[in-house]
Amino acid sequence: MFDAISLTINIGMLGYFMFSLFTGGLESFANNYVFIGYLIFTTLTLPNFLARVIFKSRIFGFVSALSFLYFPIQFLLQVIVANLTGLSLSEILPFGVIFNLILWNVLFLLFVIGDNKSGNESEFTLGEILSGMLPAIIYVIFTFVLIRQRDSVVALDYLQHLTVPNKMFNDGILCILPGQCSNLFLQHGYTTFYHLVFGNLSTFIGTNSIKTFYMLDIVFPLVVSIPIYLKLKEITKSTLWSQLGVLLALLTFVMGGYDFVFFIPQTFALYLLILALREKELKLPQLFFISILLVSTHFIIGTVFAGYLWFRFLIIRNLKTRKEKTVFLLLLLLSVIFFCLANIAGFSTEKLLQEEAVKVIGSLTNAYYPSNLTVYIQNLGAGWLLVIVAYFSVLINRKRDVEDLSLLSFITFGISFYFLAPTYANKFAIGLGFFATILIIKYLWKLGFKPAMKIVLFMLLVPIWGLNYFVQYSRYLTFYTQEDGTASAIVKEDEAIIEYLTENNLTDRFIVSDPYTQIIIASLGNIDTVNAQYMPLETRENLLRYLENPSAQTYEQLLTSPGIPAREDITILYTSRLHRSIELNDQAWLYNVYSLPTNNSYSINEVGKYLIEDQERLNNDLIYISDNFVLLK
Amino acid sequence: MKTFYLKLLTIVVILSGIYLSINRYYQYVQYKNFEIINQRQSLIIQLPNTEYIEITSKNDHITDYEEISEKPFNVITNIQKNSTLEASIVRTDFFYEYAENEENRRETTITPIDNRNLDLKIDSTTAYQFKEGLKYAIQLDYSNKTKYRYSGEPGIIYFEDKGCKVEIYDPNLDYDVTGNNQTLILKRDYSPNVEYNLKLTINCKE
Repeated sequence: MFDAISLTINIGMLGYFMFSLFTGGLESFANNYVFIGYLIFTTLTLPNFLARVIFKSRIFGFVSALSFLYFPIQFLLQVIVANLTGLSLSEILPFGVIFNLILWNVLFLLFVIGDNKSGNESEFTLGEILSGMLPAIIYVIFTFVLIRQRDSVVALDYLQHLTVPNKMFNDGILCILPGQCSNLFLQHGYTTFYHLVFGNLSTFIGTNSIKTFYMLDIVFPLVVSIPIYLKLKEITKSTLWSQLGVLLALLTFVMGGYDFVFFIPQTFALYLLILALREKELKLPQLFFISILLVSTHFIIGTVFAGYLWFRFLIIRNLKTRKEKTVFLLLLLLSVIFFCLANIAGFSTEKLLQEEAVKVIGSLTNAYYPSNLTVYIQNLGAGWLLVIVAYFSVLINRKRDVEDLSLLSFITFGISFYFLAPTYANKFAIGLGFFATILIIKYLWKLGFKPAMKIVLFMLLVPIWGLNYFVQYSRYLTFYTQEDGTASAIVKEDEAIIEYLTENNLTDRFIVSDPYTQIIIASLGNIDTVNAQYMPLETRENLLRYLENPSAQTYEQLLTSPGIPAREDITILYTSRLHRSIELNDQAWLYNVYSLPTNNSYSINEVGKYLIEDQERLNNDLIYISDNFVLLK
Repeated sequence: MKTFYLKLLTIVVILSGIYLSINRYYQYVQYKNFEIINQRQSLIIQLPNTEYIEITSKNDHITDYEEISEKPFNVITNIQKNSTLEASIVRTDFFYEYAENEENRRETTITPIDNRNLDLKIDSTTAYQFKEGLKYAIQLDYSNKTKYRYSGEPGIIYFEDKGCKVEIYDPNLDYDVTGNNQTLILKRDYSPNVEYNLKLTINCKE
């Protein structure tokens, strides 16, 4: 039955695409939500079918994580073809995406048909996949009906990361580190492994970027729900408990970690870790390969994940006696208490050892006691009570499962790193939703509640997580909420500049503007800017100084500011954000790298006459693009 | 037997969890008598009567009411707030502003307690020479003309305007009201470190 359902859904999709092709033409696919969603789903699950059909391994597991390497390999092959044929990457890359779509369909068909000869495996597997996705569908409806607005983009990270595949596609640049392609990456945090997957979802096929980001937030949780479900099913053997676990894991909004909310390098690393954890025990070579994969996905979070896997392998696996396990559990508790108290006493890595980084950013990146405690507790809310009960249950239990120790270790790692407080410590809260949920579900399942009670628990646990998730997510959105109530990083007024840049090819220009406009035009217009949203503080100050007192001297000062390439002609994009800053003397954006005024509605009624005169001196014209943008070109 | 007690404990914990979650949700969605705006170079408490109270470091002054009248934060070289985009990752339930120039530093924190009450803490470190009778003063500027009244209760003054009543509690109350009836000046004897721990209660007709 599940074979038939899956095949029917897929054929239905393909039929719909054929219909769309005839009615709307090929261009219509760029804005077609169904197509974008299908593209994301097939791209993210292609490695799973490669693992199952080609490598004869389990569909969601270690091999499927490694199969993501398909994308960099495919990209390299396309680069070779481009070099051999003389074609540009922008001509070749779309065919790669189309090939992947076809490949997915072939593998899916082989998975279903090939299996029918020998047994009923695909029927069972697809049944499990659909069971796992069911709670994710409920999650998606909850999130995208009650919390998110249509086409909202609520992670600037998407815009930043998009610049990398954009550069690869448009300029034919091959880069291993994103900083080699784009000047938006001040530190090397990852290889371009993630960006190649990301490119296949957006730039390489030319789908609408904003719609792609939006659909990605819908489809990614659907995909992730499958390995979470399978992991829980393996533990509990219960469909209901596993589905509850999926729902609770997805309904955990981790501030800074964003577990399954966005598809960004750190959450991609988490997904790969979850796939790897599907294996009961990773062998040494497997551990070695997955470590490389994780580290290349995210140099810090991936390394922590890899470290955790090695810790499991070297330490936890070798805890044999009850006494050893008791000592271990107490050590975990002590670690939490120690790091927490050290933080309360004033210890902070960023304050003590990362002064330089803090200076560049302009302020500390972490909250401190008691706020940091509140922030961490709010990630799981009342769910922490169950984690504590589960911990003590493991501690007093005669039989101690190694899996429980692993889960508690991960949670302890997260807490310890968080309270060590390096810059952006809250990123280390990542994975809390998954590991805490597994621990809680495992604990509840072991208690052996009767079916009626199970239903009652289900009805109680979902609101606990759901309400906390709603508050967490809504609070997060306040930072993207514009003055007209729109909760999105994309500002309506900015559409004018995107449209202008699309119609007028300015990709050879180096544009200087306010940091928020820079991230918009760098990602959606493929324009080089002064480190986009990370525009250095000194450059911000010099730009404002020039706009307020235009002269040869202040212009020269701007030209020699950090981030502006030597001997490069710059084009200034005067925006409402800059105009407002000058008119209202609002200079908060000068003092902190992350201070980014979002709204761009303050009409530019008049550009200062001294600025006009100085631009005339530079032989520049003023191009009025809209009420909110003037290009000094 | 152990399982029975664990089950019981679990049910109690889950019921407590429900209570806590509903409480948190209620606190988030309930109607509030104010909204805090922490965007430019001030902190604004927006009231539902369309008026607002502004607290800005630029209006802090040090005076002996004779010769000296200095504004230590008239020029600010650095201002930081927890309302910027990336600060969302350290989102907490308070509103924070830090202002500094070469010699002076000032931290302001507004912590909403519930839909009516909020705590306002100002901690100012300045470098001026001490003089007898020298005062440090902060200002609470209301956007409309109003009448500040002493409530009769120690430390509490209040004003009423357009359906809103705002009570300001300062445990070390020493105040003035400016001639235009818009500004409340709260004073302290000058010292290099001056602290204010105020409590505001805002009641507005819905």
